[in-house]
Amino acid sequence: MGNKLLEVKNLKTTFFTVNGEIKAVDGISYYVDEGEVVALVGESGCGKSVSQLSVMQLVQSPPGKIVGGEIVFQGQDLLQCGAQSKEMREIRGARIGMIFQEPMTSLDPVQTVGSQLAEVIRRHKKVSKKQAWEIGVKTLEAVSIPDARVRMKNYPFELSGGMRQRIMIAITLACQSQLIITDEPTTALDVTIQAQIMELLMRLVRENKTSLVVVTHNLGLVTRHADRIYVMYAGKIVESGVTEDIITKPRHPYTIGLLNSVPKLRRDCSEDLNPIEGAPPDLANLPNECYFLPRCPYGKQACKGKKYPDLRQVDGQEHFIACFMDIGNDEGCTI
Amino acid sequence: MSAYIVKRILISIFVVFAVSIFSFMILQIMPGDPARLALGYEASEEDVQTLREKMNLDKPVVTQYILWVKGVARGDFGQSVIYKQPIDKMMAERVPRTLTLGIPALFIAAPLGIVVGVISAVRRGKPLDQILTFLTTVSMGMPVFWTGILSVFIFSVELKILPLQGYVSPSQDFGQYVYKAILPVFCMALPMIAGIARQTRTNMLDSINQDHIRTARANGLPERSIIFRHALKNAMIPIITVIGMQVRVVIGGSLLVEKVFNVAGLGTILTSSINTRDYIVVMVGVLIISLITVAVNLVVDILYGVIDPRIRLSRR
Amino acid sequence: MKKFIATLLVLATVISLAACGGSTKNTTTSASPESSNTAAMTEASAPATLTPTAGGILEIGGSAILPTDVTWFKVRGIMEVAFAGLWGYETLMRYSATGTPECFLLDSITPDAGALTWTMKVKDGITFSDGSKLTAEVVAWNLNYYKENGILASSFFSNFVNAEATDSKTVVCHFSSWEILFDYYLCRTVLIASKEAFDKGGADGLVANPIGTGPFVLKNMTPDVDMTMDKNPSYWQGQVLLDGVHYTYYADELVAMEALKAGEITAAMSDSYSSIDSLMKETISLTKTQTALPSYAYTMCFKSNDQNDPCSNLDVRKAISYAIDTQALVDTLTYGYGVKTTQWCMSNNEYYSPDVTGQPYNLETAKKLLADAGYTDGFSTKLWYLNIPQMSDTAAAVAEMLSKIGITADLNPIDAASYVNYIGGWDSGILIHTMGMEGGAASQYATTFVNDISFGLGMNAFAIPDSLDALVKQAKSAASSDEAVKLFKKVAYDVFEDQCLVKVLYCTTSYSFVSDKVHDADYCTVQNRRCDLWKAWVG
Repeated sequence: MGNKLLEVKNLKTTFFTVNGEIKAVDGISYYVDEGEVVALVGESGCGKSVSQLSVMQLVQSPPGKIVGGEIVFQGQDLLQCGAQSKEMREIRGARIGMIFQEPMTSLDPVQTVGSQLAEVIRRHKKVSKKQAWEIGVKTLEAVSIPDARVRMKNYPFELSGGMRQRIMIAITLACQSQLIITDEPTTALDVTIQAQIMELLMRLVRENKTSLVVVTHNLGLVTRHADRIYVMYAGKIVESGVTEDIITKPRHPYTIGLLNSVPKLRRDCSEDLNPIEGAPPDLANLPNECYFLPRCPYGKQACKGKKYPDLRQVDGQEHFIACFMDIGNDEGCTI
Repeated sequence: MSAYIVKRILISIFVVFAVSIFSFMILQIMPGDPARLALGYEASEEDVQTLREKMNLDKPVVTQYILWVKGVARGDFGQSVIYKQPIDKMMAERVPRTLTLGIPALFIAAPLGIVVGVISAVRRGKPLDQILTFLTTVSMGMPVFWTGILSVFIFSVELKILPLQGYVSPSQDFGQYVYKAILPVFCMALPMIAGIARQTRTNMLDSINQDHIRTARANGLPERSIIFRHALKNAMIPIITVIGMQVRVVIGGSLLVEKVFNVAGLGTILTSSINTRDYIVVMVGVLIISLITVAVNLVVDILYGVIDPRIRLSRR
Repeated sequence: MKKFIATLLVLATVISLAACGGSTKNTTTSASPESSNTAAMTEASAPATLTPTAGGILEIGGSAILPTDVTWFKVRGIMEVAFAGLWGYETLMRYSATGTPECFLLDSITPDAGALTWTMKVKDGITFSDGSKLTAEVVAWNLNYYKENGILASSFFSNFVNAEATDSKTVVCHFSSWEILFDYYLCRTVLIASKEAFDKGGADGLVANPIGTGPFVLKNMTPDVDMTMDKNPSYWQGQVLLDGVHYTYYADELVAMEALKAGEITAAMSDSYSSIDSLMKETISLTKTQTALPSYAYTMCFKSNDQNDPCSNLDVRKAISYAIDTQALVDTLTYGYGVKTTQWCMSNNEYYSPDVTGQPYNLETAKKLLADAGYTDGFSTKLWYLNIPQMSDTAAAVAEMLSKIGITADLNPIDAASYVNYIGGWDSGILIHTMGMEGGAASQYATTFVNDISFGLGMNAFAIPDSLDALVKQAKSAASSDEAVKLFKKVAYDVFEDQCLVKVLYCTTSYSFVSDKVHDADYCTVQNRRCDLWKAWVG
């Protein structure tokens, strides 16, 4: 209860469009302690990216708007500061860093890597240009970029995707943020690079006691590295808990379906894939009952007509689900 | 990069030649006898014939053109039949008049246009953007002579705070030059500002929505720096193209502004020489315009390379 | 927001409409002019007294194009020669207000057809601006020089052989064949330049610094911009009161008129009827004068030498002529300021023939004549004309009048540069031409209605009967001016009345407008572009 680095309470973000009000984030609550790695998983469109953009207050303001909740970072409610306020700009980069999904386009193509790095460093620390450049070089070395000094003078288009992602990480590192949010950090990279990037992130987290929030749909990544997992569906958190519990004893039908749908590496390739049938609901027209109901293979009749279930604790430490049913994980799913 | 520049220069030289040949051909096709026009109705046929021979009009067309080119290569730009002055002297008097109005107009229009465009883009949809977009659209639609006559009417005739017409060279009397130049420069600058502002707005809107802008915001960079260092710089290429196009207006001399404000500049002499079939003046005038246009295009191309390293560093 | 923009739109429209609608309530011309040269006009030194005061620069302007050439023997065109008087040069003779030559730098001029000479007596006491005297020798030199080098020498000096100074005051001009119109030619060609200056600096010297007998000396001319003149301290007619004159060229007539109203210039001359009309209606104090000599006669020229063309039929030509309501043309096309006449001179000119009625407007007669000619159903023809606004309006009006008698006229405007190709001959139908009138009717008849000219109006279009050709040649070589007048009147009768080779629609004159602050200035009152400003003073 005491020293949570970040605590998000009942965050709601809605997009006001000509097609209606889209409730992208519909009241989620989570927290991150110092030095923790927390994962937010879910399929595309479940609101996980929007939730993080909301924390950074980078949501495109028309048409999106944070309509409710609290975002308490180091004891301060960020929503009380405006999105454009000085305090928020202090926090962004310096105390909360964000690494985006698309390394190919996330850097300014007409500026050198070095000048972009130095610009951010000088923004948050009072140093001269030369000093900022030196810090930049050291940071690039820290993220294992060879020939760091030469790379500083390169333009982003001269570097590979993996390198660019490292540079993004380097930027957050240079500012010594206490919390790093990464949105699909490895999706755009090939597999070998993915592993390297995650290794790097993990190392930095351990060395600097930085907290990490990983937003992803890659369950494998999450299993290996995350301390705790929140599963999101249609703008709400449907299950949360420590990684081991979630992976070995999933209790929400959606989580179970997710884990089952991961293809398993077995000797015989005769098994079909097990997708979750159906599609996510229209966020502009959400029903009053459980959002997952149309696709849920378990409690069809029993859950009909009931208002959306609140999160309730189930077995184990801090294991919550938003479900009326008590589905056990009998099948012993492993990844 | 230097191979690129060399190639561009060669193409430019070819373009200048092509333009001069093309103008020469058009002048030949146009009906009208320059010698007869120069001497008037009452002159005798013998006098006219003497002048024709003096003007080389009796020689074959190709020979005439080659003689002209040879003359230009020597630095001899010929004499105006109507004005009886050496053309280089005439141009030396007139071109500066045009430039001293057009270049200030451009230097005012470019930054102003960019700023207006950036404000419009950043405040997109809000009242300020709507007003600015409305004003730029209206400005682009207003013919420049209409603006000219209207401003003369309001400021010179009714309010009597600005002069009616005329031009004074800045080297002659700088105060008078500024005083007389205010209205013509304003009239020339207005459509330029509008064009540049529109292009800037469009490109800035694209640029602001780029991913790297989001990254810059996420890194806590100040908004002003994001707009001008990151977004604008990325949007500059088409904006510079538009500014380059405006230079052509400057050099061509906006004949209409010259007519309304009684400035004896390049535009006026070019059109009056076309009407009086003073061939050589037209050729020299067209040569000047094409040289400057081509030079400006070259500069713009080089600027592309300066702004965008992807253009500069990729192999061509 | 939309409401706000709508209000803005309405405001903008209202403002621009108000601005364009433009009330002509004017402040007086005492508003301080912008140009630094108008020092003379702001001080109303002695408003009540009318004693001429010396000093000051007179600011004048207009859309009279500045001379591109100040070489005295290369100035061409009657108007340009008249304009040259402003910046330095004068001619031996000048046109009077009725268009007749009168002596100016001469005391007298006497023709002798038998001896083929014209004898001149030079006025005493005339000096050039460099102080040298105007003697018979100088006059003779000027005439001979013009014969050798003058730009229009072959047009007007073809019969002139040489000039001889027989004493200090007398010049005898010898001719190879008789030239009765020589005095007319002297009003429009030879500008008298200082021989002394020529001896010192050659032709180039005189081009750089024109030295003539005029009241002002050209100080500086910037082509298409302005012209500055200093006074000639030794002007022969008397003391020049002004320090100088500054002429500003206005590319646009309207701007020149505004400048006049605003006080930037104090005298302006206009050829454009819309400007003239608006200034005539102005309530600010201006002296408004119609120039005595007409500038142009808008003339319909028929293609009469082509048998296939209906215009070759005399009855058709007369029918068309009767169908034109010339009064209506004057009223609508010249705002009433133009002049009606039936021939190429005004009724106060010596060559005017009252026998020429010129087919006064009568639609019935027109229709009857057309029927007689066999064209009861009319025909279609072409109208050719120079593409300037006044001419386009004229052509349109003529076409409309022709349609009333069943003739459809197809309008063919010609641009300025090509026009000269059409003067000699046109495809078919009618050319509407602006005939210059200042030179006098006689010389126009003489150069047009003969059969063997190398270049002239209608040389390939007019069917000139041999009798007319002979008559013109006889008139040209008339022994005395009385005989010339008699014969040319007959020519006029033949051309306009009998043969109806051409029809005069209307004549235009220019107007001069001079501010009340300028006194004793004769600004284009007699002849277009001719300024007599030596007595002028500002106060």
